[in-house]
Amino acid sequence: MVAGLAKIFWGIFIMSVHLNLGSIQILPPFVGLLFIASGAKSLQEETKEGFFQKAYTVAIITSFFSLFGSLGTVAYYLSLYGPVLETLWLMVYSVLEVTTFFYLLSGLILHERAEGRQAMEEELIGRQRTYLLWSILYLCLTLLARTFFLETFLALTPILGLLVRVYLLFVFHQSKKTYLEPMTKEEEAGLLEEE
Amino acid sequence: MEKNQRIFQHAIRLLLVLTMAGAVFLYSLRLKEPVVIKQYQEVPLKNLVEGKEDPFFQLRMLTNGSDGRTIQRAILKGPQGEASFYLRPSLSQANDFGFGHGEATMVGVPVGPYLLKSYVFIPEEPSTLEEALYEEVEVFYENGERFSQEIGLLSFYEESSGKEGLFTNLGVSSSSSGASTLSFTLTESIEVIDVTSPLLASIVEAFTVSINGKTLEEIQGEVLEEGSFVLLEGQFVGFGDPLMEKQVYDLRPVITYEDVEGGRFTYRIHNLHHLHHAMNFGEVLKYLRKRGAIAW
Repeated sequence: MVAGLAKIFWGIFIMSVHLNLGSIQILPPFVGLLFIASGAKSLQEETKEGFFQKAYTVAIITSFFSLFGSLGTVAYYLSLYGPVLETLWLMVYSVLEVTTFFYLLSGLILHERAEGRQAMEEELIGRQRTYLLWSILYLCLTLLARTFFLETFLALTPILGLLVRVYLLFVFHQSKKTYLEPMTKEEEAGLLEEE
Repeated sequence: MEKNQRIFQHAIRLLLVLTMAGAVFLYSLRLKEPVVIKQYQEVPLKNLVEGKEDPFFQLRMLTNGSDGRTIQRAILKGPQGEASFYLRPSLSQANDFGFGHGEATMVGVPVGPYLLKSYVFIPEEPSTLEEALYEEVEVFYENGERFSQEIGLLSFYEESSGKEGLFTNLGVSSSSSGASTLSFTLTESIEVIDVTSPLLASIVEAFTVSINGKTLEEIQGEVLEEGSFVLLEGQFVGFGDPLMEKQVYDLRPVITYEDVEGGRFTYRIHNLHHLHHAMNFGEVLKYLRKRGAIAW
């Protein structure tokens, strides 16, 4: 579990941080998505949970989308043919990305359920909901900003998008930690009592 | 978990609907052809013929952001005939947006899904150009496509000379608020015959012009004495319709006067102009709707 979750964590990190050497982008986002796909595959092999297989498939499709965008030709084509295709492309990509993480978190939740760790399961359900709601808000605002060219929103939505990514990093880091240092029965009981 | 799945499904549907609605809206904004920002300008033929000054004839237009066609030439059309121009190839000259133009057809200021582009044209045969009024422009692209559109009013005029040494202490100013002044002291008496501009009449409500506090009509026939101080004040006051302000105005009314010996001369006023540089997306939409360029 730890190796798979670590790959997902670093995948999200690579997707979010853009490092350039001159005009060449080192570790473009599609590499991050391949890391995530690899992480999903590891988790699926370990847990046999169907959601991880779905996450793997969607992550691979998303990485292809991202790869074509990074190549420049599609980006050029999209910019040439205007905001309609560009917006459609962005929304399809974003929905695929949200779906990947939704499936990953669903897989983790079901795994926790199967393992009988109710506190972790409930905590992950809460985090999945938080991620979903913030992602939907981010995507709706992005769509609104891009459709009506709202300059303030166009400047603010990337910040919201970054915060959503940071939250995802936190969620997967925390999940990885629980497998590195599994909770004792007493800790879990304490967590359940708090809730 | 099940509740999250329902949220996820509803969210995907919502995003799908919003994306499609957004795409339809964006598609409805596409221009069938570029929209030329109308201009009302008087252009001296001397500059056109001898290539002494910029600009010769500048075309500003809104295009789709995706319009990558390269402009080749343009023909101005009016009641007196046509004049053919080609795009000035130099990239070294900055236009009124502060960047190069010419062959760099993708250059433009992005405004929403559009690009506000500016091109400078020079005449194909300068020696054949004559005084004329043009109302329409036909633009030709390298790929053979072309479009024709109203350009406003472009008046090419021959510069005629004034009397040497008549004006002293000449002072000229113009400000971004649209105010302009011209002042001088007369070395001999003159009689103002008339003040004319082929364009001023068509946009008379946009500018107020006065000479020594009198309107152009009132000043006609007036004798201005030797040694008197003459102050011309111009002010762009705009239009009832603020969208008209998005257009370009450069008027050069000519004062025709008679000196004490009965000789007739002219003096041209150069600083009555208005150029609206920036437009935001909302203003562009309103302008395009007013011009009938978008469907709704």
